Amino acid sequence: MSSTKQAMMDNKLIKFKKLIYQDEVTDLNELRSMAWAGVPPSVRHVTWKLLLGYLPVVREKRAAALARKRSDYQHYVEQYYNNNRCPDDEIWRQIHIDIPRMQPLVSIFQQEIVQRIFQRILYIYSIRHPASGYVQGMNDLVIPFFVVYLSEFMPTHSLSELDHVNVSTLSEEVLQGVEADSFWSLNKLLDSIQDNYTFAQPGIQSLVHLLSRVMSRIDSKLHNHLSSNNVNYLLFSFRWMNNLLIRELPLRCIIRLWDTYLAEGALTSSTANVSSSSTGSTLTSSLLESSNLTITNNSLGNGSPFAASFHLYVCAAFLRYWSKNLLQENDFQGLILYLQNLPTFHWGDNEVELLVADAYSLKETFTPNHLLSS
Amino acid sequence: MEDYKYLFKIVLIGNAGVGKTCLVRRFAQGVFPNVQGATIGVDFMIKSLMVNDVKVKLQIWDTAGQERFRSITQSYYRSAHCLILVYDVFSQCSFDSLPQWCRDIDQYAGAAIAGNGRNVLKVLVGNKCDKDREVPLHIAEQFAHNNNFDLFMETSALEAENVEKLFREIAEILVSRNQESNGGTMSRSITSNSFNQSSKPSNCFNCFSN
Repeated sequence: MSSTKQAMMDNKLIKFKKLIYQDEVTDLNELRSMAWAGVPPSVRHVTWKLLLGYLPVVREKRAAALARKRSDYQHYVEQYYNNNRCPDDEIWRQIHIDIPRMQPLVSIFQQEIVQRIFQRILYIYSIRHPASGYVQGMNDLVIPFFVVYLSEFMPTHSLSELDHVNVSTLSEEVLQGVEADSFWSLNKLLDSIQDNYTFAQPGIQSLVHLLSRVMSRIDSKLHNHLSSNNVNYLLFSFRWMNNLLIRELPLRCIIRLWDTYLAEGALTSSTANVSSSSTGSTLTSSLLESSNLTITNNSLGNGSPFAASFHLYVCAAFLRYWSKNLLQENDFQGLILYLQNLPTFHWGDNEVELLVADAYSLKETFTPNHLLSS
Repeated sequence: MEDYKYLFKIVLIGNAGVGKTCLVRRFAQGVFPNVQGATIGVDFMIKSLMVNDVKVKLQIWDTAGQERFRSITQSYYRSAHCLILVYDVFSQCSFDSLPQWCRDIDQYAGAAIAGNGRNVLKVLVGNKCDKDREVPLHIAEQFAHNNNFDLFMETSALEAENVEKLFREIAEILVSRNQESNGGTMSRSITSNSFNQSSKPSNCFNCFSN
């Protein structure tokens, strides 16, 4: 790394630290705009918690708030998991099957202590949210939170090294904190996209439909190529929506992507009069009107910590990134196999930054007029 | 265009965790994955094989098993040539779910049968037969017979037992059905409704094996 770049990163970290640890009240707008371009790993855990609205912006209130949420979670563990769990519970059985087969961190999920943490988080979530329950894919959504919160206590470990950490060497108190914070973060995330996981998954069906509409406007050649080969968007993009691209990108990229997602989502939640957020919601509602779909705001994540509408544009940018390669595939099977195994294994921050920049430009330039014309 | 004569769409269904994906990967890639994440929506695999000197391509649709995904995955039954319903011989619970899956097959694949005059090939598979069993073989055979399955087999994706045989028999049946009805010619396009179908009602194939 060049010394100039190193100096810029040091400078960036100093700014984050000042906002988070020195200011009496963290300026969330400032934090969002900085986080949008990526958060330094050493302050990511606390930045995410602030952006999610899990940690108070007032610095001196944080310790007490955290202690209270962690204690609340311990009560849930007692109430739902330790005392009242039916041993034949179907949800519990499903979660139990799904945890050990989780990727991309293979080793860490073979540790029983980690399996138990994920089982408790997901089981308690499902009991407290009967409308959705546990849906496969939610397990993946815990991973970024868990890994980022765990890394607070392993500051020298890279992501790939973290996979081989013996988690049981950490103190019980630390692990309980990581578990509770991951649980509440998952709640914040899922509250905003619950329609993705209720019966018939209406949120996902709408997003897939919107993706197809957006693509028809921004890359009609690819859109027509897909449809003339009978490649329905649902076939490949269902998973993009259900698992928020976690199956499509390396974990390091997902974590970088979520810096932007959390910054972007928070932007639409607390400042209702910010023009970019209203553009997003107007766009989606006009798309929906013109396609005779009904949908609640909730499923698009408007006004929430996690803006699914931005995710929609990221998916559109992601799909058109592969346009050239896809146009070379000339039948259903070639297309679908390519789309299900997109070669992203070498991706890093640069690729993600191109992706979110493209998504941002789509979000900004797409006006309802564009979509309603032609 | 590739040089295959037949292209068949096979859809795997059954409860989550019974080993559908492992079965398909064993057949199509010759591997047993140590860690296989839950399928979300549907995954695709392609595998070609020779049946009586004729090249057959199998397009395998490996669907997610969890109940929440059914409203999505049921739409994939319609254009299938073969539905493979998989349970886990080690899991009574997965066997007990079969009647519901059979109702789904009748409801979602049934319309297509009536519509274009063909029967989808119905196959029942008890996977993980390398493990201690909870579901006795004769009970499963009886179930397959009573519910008009064309083929029943126990397999082990782990030990590669009966996996190749399963798909080979399916391919042979589908080829012979098409040769009977079309004199050996058929459309190679299998997508949606373009499939050239026999109007002849099919019999139970009676090729139960174990």
